[in-house]
Amino acid sequence: MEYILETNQIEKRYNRFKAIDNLSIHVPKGAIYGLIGKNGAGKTTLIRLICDLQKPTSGSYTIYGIKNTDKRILEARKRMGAIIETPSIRLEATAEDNLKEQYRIVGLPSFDNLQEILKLVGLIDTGKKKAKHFSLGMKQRLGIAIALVGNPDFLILDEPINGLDPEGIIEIRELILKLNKEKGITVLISSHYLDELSKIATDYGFIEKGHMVQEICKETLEEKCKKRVELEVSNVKECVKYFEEKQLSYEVISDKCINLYDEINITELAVALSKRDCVIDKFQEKEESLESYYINLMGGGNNV
Amino acid sequence: MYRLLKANFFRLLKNKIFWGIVIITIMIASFLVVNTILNHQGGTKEGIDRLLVIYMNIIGIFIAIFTSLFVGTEYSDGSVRNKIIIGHSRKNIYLVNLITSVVVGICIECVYLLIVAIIGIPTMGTLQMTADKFMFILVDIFFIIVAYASIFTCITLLCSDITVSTVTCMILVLIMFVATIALSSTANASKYHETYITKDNGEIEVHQELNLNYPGDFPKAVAKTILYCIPTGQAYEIVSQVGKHPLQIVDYMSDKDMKMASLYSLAVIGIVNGMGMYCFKRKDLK
Repeated sequence: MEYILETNQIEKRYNRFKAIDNLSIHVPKGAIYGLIGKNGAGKTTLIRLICDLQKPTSGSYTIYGIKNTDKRILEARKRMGAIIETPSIRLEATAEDNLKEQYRIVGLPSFDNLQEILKLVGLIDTGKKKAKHFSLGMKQRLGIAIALVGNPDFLILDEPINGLDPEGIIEIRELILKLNKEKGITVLISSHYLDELSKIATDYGFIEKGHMVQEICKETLEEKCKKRVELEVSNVKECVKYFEEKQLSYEVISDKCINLYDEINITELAVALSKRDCVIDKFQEKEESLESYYINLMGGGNNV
Repeated sequence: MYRLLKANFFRLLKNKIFWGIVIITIMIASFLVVNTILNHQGGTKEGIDRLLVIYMNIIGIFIAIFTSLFVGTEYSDGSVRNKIIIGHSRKNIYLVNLITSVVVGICIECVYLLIVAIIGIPTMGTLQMTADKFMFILVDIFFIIVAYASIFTCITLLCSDITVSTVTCMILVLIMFVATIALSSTANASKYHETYITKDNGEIEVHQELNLNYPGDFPKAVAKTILYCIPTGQAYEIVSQVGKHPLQIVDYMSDKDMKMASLYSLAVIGIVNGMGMYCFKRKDLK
Protein backbone atom coordinates (compact mmCIF):
# COMPACT_ATOMS: atom_id res chain seq x y z
CA MET A 1 0.00 0.00 0.00
CA GLU A 2 1.25 3.50 -0.83
CA TYR A 3 1.46 5.78 2.18
CA ILE A 4 1.47 9.57 2.05
CA LEU A 5 2.66 9.81 5.64
CA GLU A 6 4.53 7.32 7.78
CA THR A 7 6.20 7.83 11.11
CA ASN A 8 8.80 5.56 12.53
CA GLN A 9 9.00 5.34 16.33
CA ILE A 10 8.69 9.08 16.60
CA GLU A 11 9.14 10.66 20.01
CA LYS A 12 8.71 14.18 21.39
CA ARG A 13 9.73 15.20 24.87
CA TYR A 14 9.22 18.50 26.69
CA ASN A 15 11.84 18.25 29.41
CA ARG A 16 10.80 15.06 31.21
CA PHE A 17 7.30 14.88 29.78
CA LYS A 18 6.87 12.50 26.86
CA ALA A 19 4.15 13.99 24.63
CA ILE A 20 4.72 11.49 21.83
CA ASP A 21 6.03 8.07 22.71
CA ASN A 22 7.44 5.83 19.94
CA LEU A 23 4.44 6.51 17.78
CA SER A 24 3.98 4.96 14.35
CA ILE A 25 1.26 6.07 11.98
CA HIS A 26 0.52 5.07 8.40
CA VAL A 27 -1.73 7.32 6.30
CA PRO A 28 -2.64 5.59 3.02
CA LYS A 29 -2.89 7.57 -0.20
CA GLY A 30 -6.45 8.71 -0.92
CA ALA A 31 -7.66 8.03 2.62
CA ILE A 32 -9.54 10.18 5.10
CA TYR A 33 -7.58 9.23 8.17
CA GLY A 34 -9.27 9.94 11.48
CA LEU A 35 -6.90 10.54 14.36
CA ILE A 36 -8.77 9.83 17.58
CA GLY A 37 -7.65 10.42 21.13
CA LYS A 38 -8.74 12.23 24.26
CA ASN A 39 -7.45 15.66 25.36
CA GLY A 40 -3.69 15.62 25.83
CA ALA A 41 -3.29 12.32 23.99
CA GLY A 42 -0.77 13.92 21.63
CA LYS A 43 -2.83 14.47 18.47
CA THR A 44 -1.92 18.13 17.98
CA THR A 45 1.71 17.53 18.98
CA LEU A 46 1.95 14.79 16.34
CA ILE A 47 0.48 17.15 13.73
CA ARG A 48 2.93 19.90 14.76
CA LEU A 49 5.82 17.47 14.29
CA ILE A 50 4.60 16.42 10.86
CA CYS A 51 4.19 20.07 9.84
CA ASP A 52 7.75 20.87 11.02
CA LEU A 53 6.53 23.35 13.61
CA GLN A 54 8.40 21.27 16.15
CA LYS A 55 11.28 18.83 15.83
CA PRO A 56 11.00 15.24 17.04
CA THR A 57 13.28 14.33 19.95
CA SER A 58 13.95 11.01 18.25
CA GLY A 59 12.56 8.88 15.44
CA SER A 60 11.65 10.03 11.96
CA TYR A 61 8.78 10.39 9.54
CA THR A 62 8.34 10.40 5.78
CA ILE A 63 6.03 12.47 3.63
CA TYR A 64 5.53 11.09 0.11
CA GLY A 65 8.38 8.71 0.94
CA ILE A 66 10.83 11.53 1.72
CA LYS A 67 12.42 11.41 5.16
CA ASN A 68 12.13 14.48 7.39
CA THR A 69 15.93 14.84 7.56
CA ASP A 70 16.22 14.89 3.74
CA LYS A 71 16.53 18.38 2.25
CA ARG A 72 13.90 17.46 -0.37
CA ILE A 73 11.30 17.43 2.41
CA LEU A 74 10.77 21.18 1.79
CA GLU A 75 9.65 20.33 -1.75
CA ALA A 76 7.35 17.59 -0.43
CA ARG A 77 5.78 20.07 1.98
CA LYS A 78 4.69 22.23 -0.96
CA ARG A 79 2.24 19.45 -1.76
CA MET A 80 0.51 19.66 1.59
CA GLY A 81 -1.73 22.08 3.44
CA ALA A 82 -2.79 22.21 7.06
CA ILE A 83 -4.97 23.89 9.63
CA ILE A 84 -3.71 23.47 13.16
CA GLU A 85 -6.17 24.41 15.92
CA THR A 86 -7.21 27.80 14.50
CA PRO A 87 -7.14 28.69 10.80
CA SER A 88 -4.26 30.95 9.71
CA ILE A 89 -6.18 33.90 8.36
CA ARG A 90 -5.71 37.66 8.31
CA LEU A 91 -8.81 38.99 10.05
CA GLU A 92 -8.49 42.51 8.62
CA ALA A 93 -8.50 41.21 5.03
CA THR A 94 -11.26 39.82 2.81
CA ALA A 95 -11.43 36.16 1.82
CA GLU A 96 -10.06 37.04 -1.62
CA ASP A 97 -7.15 39.07 -0.19
CA ASN A 98 -6.31 36.25 2.20
CA LEU A 99 -6.12 33.85 -0.72
CA LYS A 100 -4.10 36.29 -2.83
CA GLU A 101 -1.49 36.54 -0.09
CA GLN A 102 -1.26 32.76 0.08
CA TYR A 103 -0.83 32.67 -3.72
CA ARG A 104 2.17 35.00 -3.34
CA ILE A 105 3.64 32.94 -0.49
CA VAL A 106 3.23 29.73 -2.46
CA GLY A 107 4.72 31.53 -5.48
CA LEU A 108 1.96 31.01 -8.02
CA PRO A 109 2.34 33.31 -11.03
CA SER A 110 -1.35 34.26 -11.27
CA PHE A 111 -4.59 34.11 -9.31
CA ASP A 112 -6.11 31.80 -11.93
CA ASN A 113 -8.21 29.36 -9.89
CA LEU A 114 -8.79 31.69 -6.94
CA GLN A 115 -12.50 32.03 -7.67
CA GLU A 116 -12.75 28.28 -8.12
CA ILE A 117 -11.34 27.70 -4.62
CA LEU A 118 -13.68 30.28 -3.12
CA LYS A 119 -16.59 28.57 -4.87
CA LEU A 120 -15.44 25.16 -3.66
CA VAL A 121 -15.48 26.28 -0.01
CA GLY A 122 -18.66 28.29 -0.44
CA LEU A 123 -17.17 31.75 0.10
CA ILE A 124 -17.63 33.13 -3.41
CA ASP A 125 -20.27 35.64 -2.31
CA THR A 126 -18.39 37.20 0.62
CA GLY A 127 -17.23 40.17 -1.48
CA LYS A 128 -15.59 42.92 0.58
CA LYS A 129 -16.62 41.47 3.93
CA LYS A 130 -13.58 41.24 6.19
CA ALA A 131 -12.68 37.88 7.71
CA LYS A 132 -13.18 39.27 11.21
CA HIS A 133 -16.90 39.48 10.46
CA PHE A 134 -17.08 35.84 9.30
CA SER A 135 -18.83 33.15 11.33
CA LEU A 136 -16.67 30.42 12.87
CA GLY A 137 -17.67 28.02 10.08
CA MET A 138 -16.78 30.57 7.40
CA LYS A 139 -13.39 31.18 9.02
CA GLN A 140 -12.77 27.45 9.11
CA ARG A 141 -13.71 27.16 5.43
CA LEU A 142 -11.46 30.11 4.60
CA GLY A 143 -8.65 28.32 6.45
CA ILE A 144 -9.26 25.25 4.31
CA ALA A 145 -9.32 27.44 1.18
CA ILE A 146 -5.91 28.88 2.13
CA ALA A 147 -4.59 25.37 2.71
CA LEU A 148 -5.87 24.41 -0.74
CA VAL A 149 -3.83 27.05 -2.59
CA GLY A 150 -1.14 25.31 -4.60
CA ASN A 151 -3.30 22.18 -5.17
CA PRO A 152 -2.02 20.04 -2.30
CA ASP A 153 -2.52 16.26 -2.34
CA PHE A 154 -2.43 16.02 1.42
CA LEU A 155 -4.50 18.04 3.85
CA ILE A 156 -4.07 18.01 7.63
CA LEU A 157 -6.99 19.29 9.67
CA ASP A 158 -6.69 19.54 13.43
CA GLU A 159 -10.08 19.64 15.12
CA PRO A 160 -11.77 21.36 12.14
CA ILE A 161 -15.28 21.18 13.56
CA ASN A 162 -14.53 22.38 17.07
CA GLY A 163 -17.02 25.01 18.13
CA LEU A 164 -19.11 24.81 14.97
CA ASP A 165 -22.89 24.69 14.96
CA PRO A 166 -24.64 21.66 13.37
CA GLU A 167 -24.92 23.45 10.04
CA GLY A 168 -21.21 24.34 10.09
CA ILE A 169 -20.31 20.76 10.92
CA ILE A 170 -22.30 19.49 7.95
CA GLU A 171 -20.67 22.08 5.65
CA ILE A 172 -17.17 21.04 6.71
CA ARG A 173 -18.03 17.36 6.43
CA GLU A 174 -19.41 17.83 2.91
CA LEU A 175 -16.35 19.86 1.96
CA ILE A 176 -13.90 17.23 3.21
CA LEU A 177 -15.78 14.49 1.37
CA LYS A 178 -15.85 16.59 -1.80
CA LEU A 179 -12.11 17.27 -1.60
CA ASN A 180 -11.39 13.60 -1.06
CA LYS A 181 -13.72 12.24 -3.73
CA GLU A 182 -13.43 14.90 -6.43
CA LYS A 183 -9.86 16.12 -5.98
CA GLY A 184 -8.35 12.91 -4.64
CA ILE A 185 -6.88 14.73 -1.65
CA THR A 186 -5.69 12.57 1.25
CA VAL A 187 -6.95 14.01 4.53
CA LEU A 188 -5.58 13.50 8.03
CA ILE A 189 -8.19 14.75 10.45
CA SER A 190 -8.11 14.82 14.22
CA SER A 191 -11.35 15.19 16.09
CA HIS A 192 -13.21 14.55 19.31
CA TYR A 193 -16.47 14.16 17.45
CA LEU A 194 -16.31 10.41 16.92
CA ASP A 195 -19.79 10.14 15.51
CA GLU A 196 -19.00 12.84 12.96
CA LEU A 197 -15.65 11.26 12.14
CA SER A 198 -17.28 7.86 11.58
CA LYS A 199 -19.32 9.44 8.76
CA ILE A 200 -16.29 10.35 6.68
CA ALA A 201 -13.16 8.47 7.76
CA THR A 202 -11.84 5.54 5.77
CA ASP A 203 -9.05 4.77 8.25
CA TYR A 204 -8.62 5.34 11.96
CA GLY A 205 -5.73 5.77 14.35
CA PHE A 206 -6.44 5.54 18.08
CA ILE A 207 -3.89 7.43 20.13
CA GLU A 208 -3.44 7.42 23.89
CA LYS A 209 -0.70 9.04 26.01
CA GLY A 210 1.34 9.78 22.89
CA HIS A 211 1.24 6.18 21.77
CA MET A 212 -0.62 4.64 18.84
CA VAL A 213 -2.95 2.05 20.34
CA GLN A 214 -4.41 0.80 17.10
CA GLU A 215 -4.66 1.60 13.41
CA ILE A 216 -7.63 0.17 11.68
CA CYS A 217 -9.41 0.59 8.35
CA LYS A 218 -13.13 1.31 8.05
CA GLU A 219 -13.97 -2.17 6.76
CA THR A 220 -12.27 -3.96 9.63
CA LEU A 221 -13.81 -1.58 12.13
CA GLU A 222 -17.26 -2.14 10.68
CA GLU A 223 -16.66 -5.87 10.88
CA LYS A 224 -15.73 -5.53 14.53
CA CYS A 225 -18.62 -3.22 15.32
CA LYS A 226 -21.37 -4.99 13.46
CA LYS A 227 -24.49 -6.36 15.18
CA ARG A 228 -23.87 -9.71 16.84
CA VAL A 229 -25.08 -12.14 19.46
CA GLU A 230 -22.54 -12.94 22.12
CA LEU A 231 -23.06 -16.46 23.48
CA GLU A 232 -21.49 -18.07 26.49
CA VAL A 233 -21.85 -21.84 26.06
CA SER A 234 -20.77 -24.97 27.89
CA ASN A 235 -19.37 -26.63 24.75
CA VAL A 236 -17.92 -24.35 22.09
CA LYS A 237 -16.92 -27.24 19.77
CA GLU A 238 -20.49 -28.48 19.44
CA CYS A 239 -21.71 -24.97 18.98
CA VAL A 240 -19.20 -24.41 16.14
CA LYS A 241 -20.29 -27.68 14.48
CA TYR A 242 -23.92 -26.54 14.56
CA PHE A 243 -23.08 -23.11 13.09
CA GLU A 244 -21.01 -24.80 10.34
CA GLU A 245 -23.92 -27.10 9.46
CA LYS A 246 -26.28 -24.13 9.29
CA GLN A 247 -23.65 -22.03 7.42
CA LEU A 248 -23.87 -19.19 9.93
CA SER A 249 -21.26 -16.48 10.34
CA TYR A 250 -19.50 -16.70 13.72
CA GLU A 251 -16.27 -15.94 15.58
CA VAL A 252 -14.84 -17.92 18.48
CA ILE A 253 -13.73 -15.50 21.19
CA SER A 254 -12.66 -17.95 23.93
CA ASP A 255 -13.26 -21.54 25.03
CA LYS A 256 -16.63 -20.43 26.43
CA CYS A 257 -17.57 -17.48 24.29
CA ILE A 258 -18.64 -17.28 20.68
CA ASN A 259 -20.03 -14.42 18.59
CA LEU A 260 -22.79 -15.05 16.09
CA TYR A 261 -23.28 -12.47 13.34
CA ASP A 262 -26.34 -13.91 11.59
CA GLU A 263 -29.92 -13.76 12.79
CA ILE A 264 -31.32 -16.91 14.38
CA ASN A 265 -34.37 -18.04 16.30
CA ILE A 266 -33.25 -18.33 19.89
CA THR A 267 -35.62 -21.19 20.86
CA GLU A 268 -34.54 -23.20 17.83
CA LEU A 269 -30.87 -22.56 18.71
CA ALA A 270 -31.33 -23.52 22.39
CA VAL A 271 -33.12 -26.75 21.49
CA ALA A 272 -30.57 -27.71 18.83
CA LEU A 273 -27.63 -27.09 21.14
CA SER A 274 -29.20 -28.94 24.08
CA LYS A 275 -29.53 -31.99 21.82
CA ARG A 276 -25.73 -31.75 21.41
CA ASP A 277 -25.09 -31.53 25.17
CA CYS A 278 -24.37 -27.85 24.95
CA VAL A 279 -26.07 -25.36 27.27
CA ILE A 280 -26.36 -21.64 26.66
CA ASP A 281 -25.20 -19.95 29.87
CA LYS A 282 -25.48 -16.36 28.69
CA PHE A 283 -27.04 -14.66 25.68
CA GLN A 284 -26.43 -11.00 24.82
CA GLU A 285 -27.21 -8.96 21.72
CA LYS A 286 -24.48 -6.38 20.94
CA GLU A 287 -23.84 -3.60 18.45
CA GLU A 288 -20.91 -1.18 18.72
CA SER A 289 -20.52 2.34 17.42
CA LEU A 290 -17.14 3.99 16.83
CA GLU A 291 -17.62 5.67 20.19
CA SER A 292 -18.25 2.46 22.13
CA TYR A 293 -15.45 0.74 20.23
CA TYR A 294 -13.11 3.56 21.21
CA ILE A 295 -14.22 3.44 24.85
CA ASN A 296 -13.72 -0.32 24.99
CA LEU A 297 -10.34 -0.01 23.32
CA MET A 298 -9.15 2.65 25.74
CA GLY A 299 -10.60 0.70 28.67
CA GLY A 300 -13.10 3.24 30.05
CA GLY A 301 -15.24 6.21 29.34
CA ASN A 302 -13.35 8.98 31.13
CA ASN A 303 -12.53 12.19 29.23
CA VAL A 304 -13.91 11.03 25.91
CA MET B 1 12.83 33.83 -0.46
CA TYR B 2 11.76 36.15 -3.27
CA ARG B 3 8.18 34.88 -2.91
CA LEU B 4 8.15 35.63 0.81
CA LEU B 5 9.63 39.08 0.22
CA LYS B 6 7.01 39.82 -2.42
CA ALA B 7 4.22 38.71 -0.06
CA ASN B 8 5.66 40.82 2.78
CA PHE B 9 5.96 43.96 0.67
CA PHE B 10 2.39 43.63 -0.60
CA ARG B 11 1.32 43.33 3.02
CA LEU B 12 3.49 46.32 3.91
CA LEU B 13 1.75 48.54 1.36
CA LYS B 14 -1.56 47.94 3.15
CA ASN B 15 -0.08 48.14 6.63
CA LYS B 16 -1.53 50.95 8.76
CA ILE B 17 1.38 50.95 11.23
CA PHE B 18 3.88 51.53 8.44
CA TRP B 19 1.91 54.43 6.96
CA GLY B 20 1.28 55.84 10.42
CA ILE B 21 5.03 55.91 11.11
CA VAL B 22 5.68 57.56 7.72
CA ILE B 23 3.13 60.29 8.51
CA ILE B 24 4.57 60.86 12.00
CA THR B 25 8.08 61.09 10.45
CA ILE B 26 6.88 63.73 7.97
CA MET B 27 5.33 65.68 10.83
CA ILE B 28 8.49 65.46 12.96
CA ALA B 29 10.73 66.51 10.05
CA SER B 30 8.50 69.47 9.16
CA PHE B 31 8.22 70.58 12.77
CA LEU B 32 11.99 70.41 13.40
CA VAL B 33 12.88 72.37 10.26
CA VAL B 34 10.26 75.06 10.81
CA ASN B 35 11.19 75.33 14.48
CA THR B 36 14.90 75.70 13.65
CA ILE B 37 14.15 78.36 11.03
CA LEU B 38 12.00 80.34 13.46
CA ASN B 39 14.62 80.11 16.24
CA HIS B 40 17.39 81.43 13.99
CA GLN B 41 15.50 84.21 12.25
CA GLY B 42 17.85 87.14 11.93
CA GLY B 43 20.67 85.26 13.58
CA THR B 44 23.63 83.29 12.23
CA LYS B 45 23.03 80.54 9.78
CA GLU B 46 23.64 77.18 11.44
CA GLY B 47 23.17 74.99 8.39
CA ILE B 48 21.17 71.81 8.31
CA ASP B 49 23.89 69.39 9.40
CA ARG B 50 22.51 68.57 12.85
CA LEU B 51 18.95 68.63 11.60
CA LEU B 52 19.76 65.98 9.00
CA VAL B 53 21.13 63.51 11.53
CA ILE B 54 19.04 64.22 14.63
CA TYR B 55 16.30 61.76 13.59
CA MET B 56 18.79 58.94 14.28
CA ASN B 57 18.15 59.50 17.97
CA ILE B 58 14.54 58.37 17.76
CA ILE B 59 14.42 56.08 14.73
CA GLY B 60 14.92 53.10 17.05
CA ILE B 61 11.52 53.69 18.66
CA PHE B 62 9.77 53.55 15.29
CA ILE B 63 11.66 50.45 14.15
CA ALA B 64 10.79 48.76 17.48
CA ILE B 65 7.08 49.62 17.09
CA PHE B 66 6.94 48.54 13.47
CA THR B 67 8.92 45.30 13.82
CA SER B 68 7.18 44.08 16.96
CA LEU B 69 3.71 44.73 15.52
CA PHE B 70 4.32 43.73 11.89
CA VAL B 71 6.34 40.59 12.58
CA GLY B 72 4.31 39.89 15.73
CA THR B 73 1.15 39.80 13.60
CA GLU B 74 2.80 37.05 11.55
CA TYR B 75 2.64 34.93 14.68
CA SER B 76 -0.78 35.98 15.89
CA ASP B 77 -2.53 35.34 12.57
CA GLY B 78 -0.64 32.10 11.93
CA SER B 79 1.37 33.29 8.89
CA VAL B 80 4.69 31.97 10.26
CA ARG B 81 3.05 28.57 10.81
CA ASN B 82 1.52 28.67 7.35
CA LYS B 83 4.84 29.44 5.68
CA ILE B 84 6.65 26.60 7.45
CA ILE B 85 3.88 24.09 6.67
CA ILE B 86 4.14 24.74 2.94
CA GLY B 87 7.90 24.30 2.91
CA HIS B 88 9.57 27.68 3.49
CA SER B 89 12.73 27.35 5.54
CA ARG B 90 12.95 29.07 8.90
CA LYS B 91 16.16 30.80 7.80
CA ASN B 92 14.32 32.42 4.88
CA ILE B 93 11.37 33.43 7.07
CA TYR B 94 13.81 35.06 9.52
CA LEU B 95 15.77 36.86 6.81
CA VAL B 96 12.67 38.13 5.01
CA ASN B 97 11.30 39.67 8.19
CA LEU B 98 14.70 41.22 8.92
CA ILE B 99 14.92 42.67 5.39
CA THR B 100 11.37 44.06 5.69
CA SER B 101 12.27 45.83 8.95
CA VAL B 102 15.49 47.21 7.44
CA VAL B 103 13.64 48.46 4.35
CA VAL B 104 11.05 50.19 6.53
CA GLY B 105 13.85 51.78 8.60
CA ILE B 106 15.56 53.03 5.44
CA CYS B 107 12.24 54.26 4.04
CA ILE B 108 11.38 56.40 7.05
CA GLU B 109 14.96 57.73 7.26
CA CYS B 110 14.79 58.69 3.58
CA VAL B 111 11.40 60.35 4.08
CA TYR B 112 12.90 62.37 6.94
CA LEU B 113 16.01 63.39 4.96
CA LEU B 114 13.88 64.33 1.98
CA ILE B 115 11.54 66.57 3.99
CA VAL B 116 14.46 68.26 5.77
CA ALA B 117 16.29 68.76 2.46
CA ILE B 118 13.23 70.09 0.62
CA ILE B 119 12.28 72.62 3.30
CA GLY B 120 15.67 73.13 4.94
CA ILE B 121 18.16 73.63 2.08
CA PRO B 122 16.35 76.64 0.45
CA THR B 123 15.95 78.36 3.81
CA MET B 124 19.00 77.28 5.83
CA GLY B 125 21.57 76.56 3.17
CA THR B 126 23.45 73.39 2.33
CA LEU B 127 25.73 71.16 4.38
CA GLN B 128 28.58 72.67 6.34
CA MET B 129 30.36 69.37 6.89
CA THR B 130 32.34 67.79 4.07
CA ALA B 131 30.53 65.51 1.65
CA ASP B 132 33.00 62.81 2.64
CA LYS B 133 31.97 62.99 6.30
CA PHE B 134 28.29 63.08 5.40
CA MET B 135 28.72 59.91 3.35
CA PHE B 136 30.31 58.16 6.33
CA ILE B 137 27.43 59.29 8.53
CA LEU B 138 24.93 57.93 6.00
CA VAL B 139 26.76 54.57 6.07
CA ASP B 140 26.67 54.65 9.89
CA ILE B 141 22.93 55.44 9.82
CA PHE B 142 22.37 52.48 7.50
CA PHE B 143 24.16 50.09 9.84
CA ILE B 144 22.42 51.53 12.90
CA ILE B 145 19.08 50.85 11.20
CA VAL B 146 20.16 47.27 10.39
CA ALA B 147 21.33 46.80 13.99
CA TYR B 148 17.98 48.04 15.36
CA ALA B 149 16.05 45.85 12.90
CA SER B 150 18.20 42.85 13.84
CA ILE B 151 17.62 43.27 17.57
CA PHE B 152 13.86 43.73 17.28
CA THR B 153 13.37 41.01 14.62
CA CYS B 154 15.28 38.62 16.87
CA ILE B 155 13.12 39.43 19.90
CA THR B 156 9.86 39.27 17.96
CA LEU B 157 10.61 35.98 16.22
CA LEU B 158 11.78 34.31 19.41
CA CYS B 159 8.78 35.53 21.36
CA SER B 160 5.56 34.08 19.90
CA ASP B 161 3.23 36.40 21.81
CA ILE B 162 2.72 39.76 20.07
CA THR B 163 1.95 41.60 23.34
CA VAL B 164 5.03 40.25 25.10
CA SER B 165 7.31 40.98 22.13
CA THR B 166 5.96 44.54 21.71
CA VAL B 167 6.38 45.34 25.39
CA THR B 168 9.86 43.74 25.41
CA CYS B 169 10.96 45.80 22.39
CA MET B 170 9.70 49.03 23.92
CA ILE B 171 11.34 48.31 27.26
CA LEU B 172 14.60 47.48 25.47
CA VAL B 173 14.53 50.82 23.62
CA LEU B 174 14.02 52.54 26.94
CA ILE B 175 16.91 50.61 28.51
CA MET B 176 19.12 51.57 25.56
CA PHE B 177 18.26 55.24 26.04
CA VAL B 178 18.95 55.07 29.78
CA ALA B 179 22.22 53.20 29.17
CA THR B 180 23.25 55.83 26.62
CA ILE B 181 22.65 58.67 29.08
CA ALA B 182 24.40 56.77 31.87
CA LEU B 183 27.45 55.90 29.76
CA SER B 184 27.81 59.12 27.80
CA SER B 185 29.14 61.21 30.71
CA THR B 186 31.95 58.67 31.33
CA ALA B 187 32.59 58.00 27.66
CA ASN B 188 32.75 61.67 26.68
CA ALA B 189 34.63 63.05 29.66
CA SER B 190 37.69 65.22 28.92
CA LYS B 191 40.89 65.24 30.95
CA TYR B 192 40.82 69.02 31.10
CA HIS B 193 38.24 71.72 31.48
CA GLU B 194 38.83 74.79 29.39
CA THR B 195 37.63 78.19 30.50
CA TYR B 196 37.48 81.19 28.21
CA ILE B 197 37.98 84.66 29.58
CA THR B 198 37.33 87.70 27.42
CA LYS B 199 39.82 90.45 28.19
CA ASP B 200 39.05 94.17 28.18
CA ASN B 201 40.64 94.50 24.74
CA GLY B 202 38.33 91.78 23.36
CA GLU B 203 40.95 89.01 23.22
CA ILE B 204 39.92 85.60 24.44
CA GLU B 205 42.23 83.90 26.91
CA VAL B 206 42.06 80.12 27.26
CA HIS B 207 42.71 78.49 30.61
CA GLN B 208 43.07 74.70 30.95
CA GLU B 209 42.21 73.07 34.25
CA LEU B 210 42.41 69.41 35.20
CA ASN B 211 39.00 67.70 35.30
CA LEU B 212 38.76 66.25 38.80
CA ASN B 213 35.86 64.01 37.77
CA TYR B 214 37.77 62.41 34.90
CA PRO B 215 37.05 58.65 35.22
CA GLY B 216 40.43 57.49 33.86
CA ASP B 217 41.51 56.24 30.43
CA PHE B 218 40.45 52.60 30.84
CA PRO B 219 36.90 53.18 32.22
CA LYS B 220 36.44 55.80 29.52
CA ALA B 221 37.53 53.37 26.77
CA VAL B 222 35.19 50.65 28.11
CA ALA B 223 32.25 53.06 28.34
CA LYS B 224 32.94 54.31 24.80
CA THR B 225 33.11 50.79 23.39
CA ILE B 226 29.81 49.83 25.05
CA LEU B 227 28.26 53.09 23.88
CA TYR B 228 29.34 52.42 20.29
CA CYS B 229 27.88 48.92 20.46
CA ILE B 230 24.45 50.22 21.44
CA PRO B 231 22.70 51.65 18.35
CA THR B 232 21.13 54.37 20.50
CA GLY B 233 24.55 55.25 21.93
CA GLN B 234 26.21 55.36 18.55
CA ALA B 235 23.43 57.56 17.16
CA TYR B 236 23.69 59.89 20.17
CA GLU B 237 27.45 60.23 19.68
CA ILE B 238 27.15 61.02 15.98
CA VAL B 239 24.33 63.53 16.47
CA SER B 240 26.23 65.21 19.34
CA GLN B 241 29.46 65.35 17.35
CA VAL B 242 27.74 66.88 14.32
CA GLY B 243 25.92 69.44 16.43
CA LYS B 244 28.89 70.26 18.65
CA HIS B 245 29.77 73.93 19.09
CA PRO B 246 33.36 74.68 17.98
CA LEU B 247 34.28 75.88 21.48
CA GLN B 248 32.59 72.96 23.26
CA ILE B 249 35.15 70.66 24.92
CA VAL B 250 33.39 67.33 25.07
CA ASP B 251 35.06 64.21 23.74
CA TYR B 252 32.28 62.97 21.42
CA MET B 253 32.89 60.44 18.68
CA SER B 254 35.89 61.54 16.61
CA ASP B 255 35.84 61.67 12.82
CA LYS B 256 38.15 58.66 12.83
CA ASP B 257 35.78 56.71 15.11
CA MET B 258 32.88 57.72 12.92
CA LYS B 259 34.52 55.91 10.03
CA MET B 260 34.89 52.83 12.23
CA ALA B 261 31.43 53.01 13.86
CA SER B 262 29.89 50.72 11.23
CA LEU B 263 32.21 47.94 12.39
CA TYR B 264 30.64 48.05 15.87
CA SER B 265 27.17 47.88 14.30
CA LEU B 266 28.32 45.02 12.07
CA ALA B 267 29.48 43.08 15.12
CA VAL B 268 26.08 43.60 16.79
CA ILE B 269 24.26 42.64 13.57
CA GLY B 270 26.35 39.46 13.18
CA ILE B 271 25.99 38.31 16.79
CA VAL B 272 22.26 39.10 17.14
CA ASN B 273 21.26 37.56 13.82
CA GLY B 274 23.47 34.51 14.25
CA MET B 275 22.01 33.85 17.67
CA GLY B 276 18.47 34.72 16.56
CA MET B 277 18.54 32.42 13.55
CA TYR B 278 20.05 29.58 15.59
CA CYS B 279 17.33 29.82 18.25
CA PHE B 280 14.50 30.35 15.74
CA LYS B 281 15.52 27.21 13.84
CA ARG B 282 15.18 25.20 17.05
CA LYS B 283 12.13 26.92 18.45
CA ASP B 284 9.02 24.83 19.06
CA LEU B 285 6.15 26.65 17.39
CA LYS B 286 2.48 26.26 18.19
